[in-house]
Amino acid sequence: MVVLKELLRDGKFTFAFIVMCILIILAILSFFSPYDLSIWNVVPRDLPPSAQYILGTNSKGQDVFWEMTVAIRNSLLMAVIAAFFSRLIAIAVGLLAGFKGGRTDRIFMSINDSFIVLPMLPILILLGSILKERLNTVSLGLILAVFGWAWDARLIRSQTLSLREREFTNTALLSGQKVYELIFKEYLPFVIPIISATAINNMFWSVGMEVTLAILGLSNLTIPTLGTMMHWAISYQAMLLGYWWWIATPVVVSVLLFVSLYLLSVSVSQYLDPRTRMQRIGSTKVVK
Amino acid sequence: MFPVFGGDRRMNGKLIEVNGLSKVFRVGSLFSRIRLTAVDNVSFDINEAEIYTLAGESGSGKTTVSKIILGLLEPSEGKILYKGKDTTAMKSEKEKKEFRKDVQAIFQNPFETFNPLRMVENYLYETQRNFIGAGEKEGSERIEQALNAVGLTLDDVKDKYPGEFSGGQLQRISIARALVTQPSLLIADEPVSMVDASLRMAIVNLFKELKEKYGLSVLYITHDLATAYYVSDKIAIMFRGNIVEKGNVEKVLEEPKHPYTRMLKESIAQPDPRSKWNTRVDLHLTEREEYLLKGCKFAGRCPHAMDACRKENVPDFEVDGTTVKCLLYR
Amino acid sequence: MTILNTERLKAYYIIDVLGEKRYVKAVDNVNLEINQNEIYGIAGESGCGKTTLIKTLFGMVEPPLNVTDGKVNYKIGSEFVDIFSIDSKRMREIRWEYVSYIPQGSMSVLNPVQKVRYTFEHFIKAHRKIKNRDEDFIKPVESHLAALGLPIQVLDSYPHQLSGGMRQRVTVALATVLQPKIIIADEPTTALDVVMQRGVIQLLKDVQSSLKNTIILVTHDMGIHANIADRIGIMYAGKMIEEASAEEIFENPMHPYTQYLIGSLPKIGDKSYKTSAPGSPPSLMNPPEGCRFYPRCNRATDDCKAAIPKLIEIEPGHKVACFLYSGVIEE
Repeated sequence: MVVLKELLRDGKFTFAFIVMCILIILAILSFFSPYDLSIWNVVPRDLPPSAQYILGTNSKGQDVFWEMTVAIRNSLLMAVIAAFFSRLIAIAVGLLAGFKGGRTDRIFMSINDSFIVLPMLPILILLGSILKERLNTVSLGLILAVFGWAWDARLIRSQTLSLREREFTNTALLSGQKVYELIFKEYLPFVIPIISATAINNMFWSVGMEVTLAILGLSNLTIPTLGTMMHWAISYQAMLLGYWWWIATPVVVSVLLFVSLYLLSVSVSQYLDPRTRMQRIGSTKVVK
Repeated sequence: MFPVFGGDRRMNGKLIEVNGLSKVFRVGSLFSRIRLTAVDNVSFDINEAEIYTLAGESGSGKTTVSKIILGLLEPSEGKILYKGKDTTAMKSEKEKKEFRKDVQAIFQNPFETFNPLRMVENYLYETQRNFIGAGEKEGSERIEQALNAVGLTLDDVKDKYPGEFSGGQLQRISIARALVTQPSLLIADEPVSMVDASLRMAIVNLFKELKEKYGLSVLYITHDLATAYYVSDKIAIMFRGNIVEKGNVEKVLEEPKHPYTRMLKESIAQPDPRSKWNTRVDLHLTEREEYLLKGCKFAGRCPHAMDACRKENVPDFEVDGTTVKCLLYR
Repeated sequence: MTILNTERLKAYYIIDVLGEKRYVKAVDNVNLEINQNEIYGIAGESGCGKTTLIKTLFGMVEPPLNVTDGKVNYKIGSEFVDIFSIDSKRMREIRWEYVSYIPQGSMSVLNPVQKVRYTFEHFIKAHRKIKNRDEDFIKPVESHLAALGLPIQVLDSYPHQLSGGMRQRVTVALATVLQPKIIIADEPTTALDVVMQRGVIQLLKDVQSSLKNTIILVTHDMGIHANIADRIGIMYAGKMIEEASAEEIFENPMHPYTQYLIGSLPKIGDKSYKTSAPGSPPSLMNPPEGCRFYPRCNRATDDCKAAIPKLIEIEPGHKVACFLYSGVIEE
């Protein structure tokens, strides 16, 4: 894993990587939870952190630690689904529009721009309030995916447009490459930094959206996520009553998640940037 | 050793015939579109095993002509006959592929020719695979031969990225890639203008060698008349879309007949302190005006311009084996 | 009369590649003496360091470029001033009035969204007080343009409305309007056509003969040097390896590299076989020990591998750095 080693040289990446690993471990731990988090009142309520309950218990009578692990799992899952599917759409639209140009480009871009100008939050609030109970992690992820591709598709399109003008496109065509080969072999390495940076940003945004919707009470509140944890803590007046462990946990975890996602995004896109990549090429070899 | 290229010898030795080629671009915004005739009624022939130069300043239309020949642009008018077949009428993928195999090209900027993120050998193998059908497993013999023909070996090139080579080396690898299909015609668009003066001759000599050893024809596009004189057999001088003079390279450049060719020749900075410029040149304010002139486009600057030059389209005249587009020879 | 000289000038790029410091020795121990009223040409292939050299001569030294040793002295009045030892205010005063710079690519000097007139005005205002617009600005500029044979309409044009050759000539006019004593031009005609190139070079020659000042011209095009330069310095891998009058360089090149260079130039009327030097120039990050040209030279001896020959006068006015002519080693 030469790539990982090189990435780890960057302090930002190392920190983010460690934090993400911890969060992922916690998410995996959730499968071993001794409690079923959809049942309330399994443990005494409102107990502060102790040896038995590491992060205390909440007003619903649940163990905060295990609630947190499930919350992390659900939030991460949703974010990954949203980011993955929105990338697929963005790449397909961006590459096609940029490469084909002409009418195809115009059609795609008008659809694209319609999505950009959609007022996202009101529509999500509307959807949230209508679909409340039928929303789960996966469906919320997919809905966010549909809203999250437009901006990045444009970025990919302009990158593709400029790549088309470069001389090596002609060389590739003269070498007999067909269009799909051209896109995957020649252009994709340039497009990947945008894709990875925007994927991570998209995850960031998705978690943020989810938290917003949940705090407003517009998502399925029976499913533990970072957002819904916060919602319950707020509606049970955890701050006022001094049950700081209940509100602090999701907030701290969210902050850690956002910070590490941001640092990952920055360090990975710096690494993948064609300019720094070119500096690395050949520097590991002996200069004659 | 490569066999002599081509193989398909018909048509009285003429490899490619360009007849009455024209290309009109529409420039400008939605409301004021100007027609720019980038290529105006251009005709010339290239024989087998011949190096033909298409010379002119930037904006003369020479690159547009090469793009049309390669099929990267559609002509507005005219025909191109390659080995007797009309290239503009080629419809089937098979025909187009045969053409691409036989007519290859290299470009001006060696540093942009290859994707900086891919190893150069990939292009060599891909060309082989796509046109010859032989993948990497089938052997690298043909590629080794192509590289040897340009003075390199597969070892020199293996596992390396474009950033690890100099401009001259990259240009050579680019030529080797074009040679993998054993083409009959190589179109070279300003192949040495971005290569250092001290390394240019190696590349230009290569064209000569390939012509002599393998019967390759080269369409050499350049604004550098000195290398054109050195390497080519015939030359056509372009000015604002027209060919103003064409013929044998020694004749055209040693005894230029068209006033523009004369001015070009005089303006060359000869690397000889004893033959410095002794006349003065008058530069024009803008370029676009000249494209839109009626009649002879050089009339604005020509010391011999007559009234007729600005009114009629000037035909070609045969003078002493050279074709000149100038009313002085009527 | 020397107007600019350098002593043991070393300018290296210090770059950080994955944590390690690397030195690109673009200018390595260069000693120049340039006179008043002359056109001095600097020739060499790309990557030989000539652009770095003239940037250093102009004082444009910014990280990662560093002047690691030596001096660049301008003769101002009657004394020599090392431009790297004065403060930036004084340097700004010297620039453009005393020494001006014509960079490669004319568009970068002319503001693309303003008419040419405003660029001139901006320029002159930065160096002179304009009390009376007509007398202090308009008249001098118009007569300057007329003297250079440029139509006055260029002042009312935007840069993109002018042809490439015209733009470059306007840049020359801009660089000379304050009548500097030294003009440094970096590849002023690359990307220009043969005819436009001739016009620009012609202009530079006219400027020099009327102001009787100094032009330092950098280009890899030997034809231009042949037509305009009085003396030529040949650079190779960061070092000056030969220096002589233009006639001497072309008719009697002494250094093997110069011989290859002159021998490879095609000329109309001459179809004899020409050849290039074998191999390619060395990387400035890892130049060879000893003489930099050693790996490509067909007359090299073991001495060449071990030490660097010093640039020394072999014939009057003709300096060469080669052990074939002298045994003097560079310190």
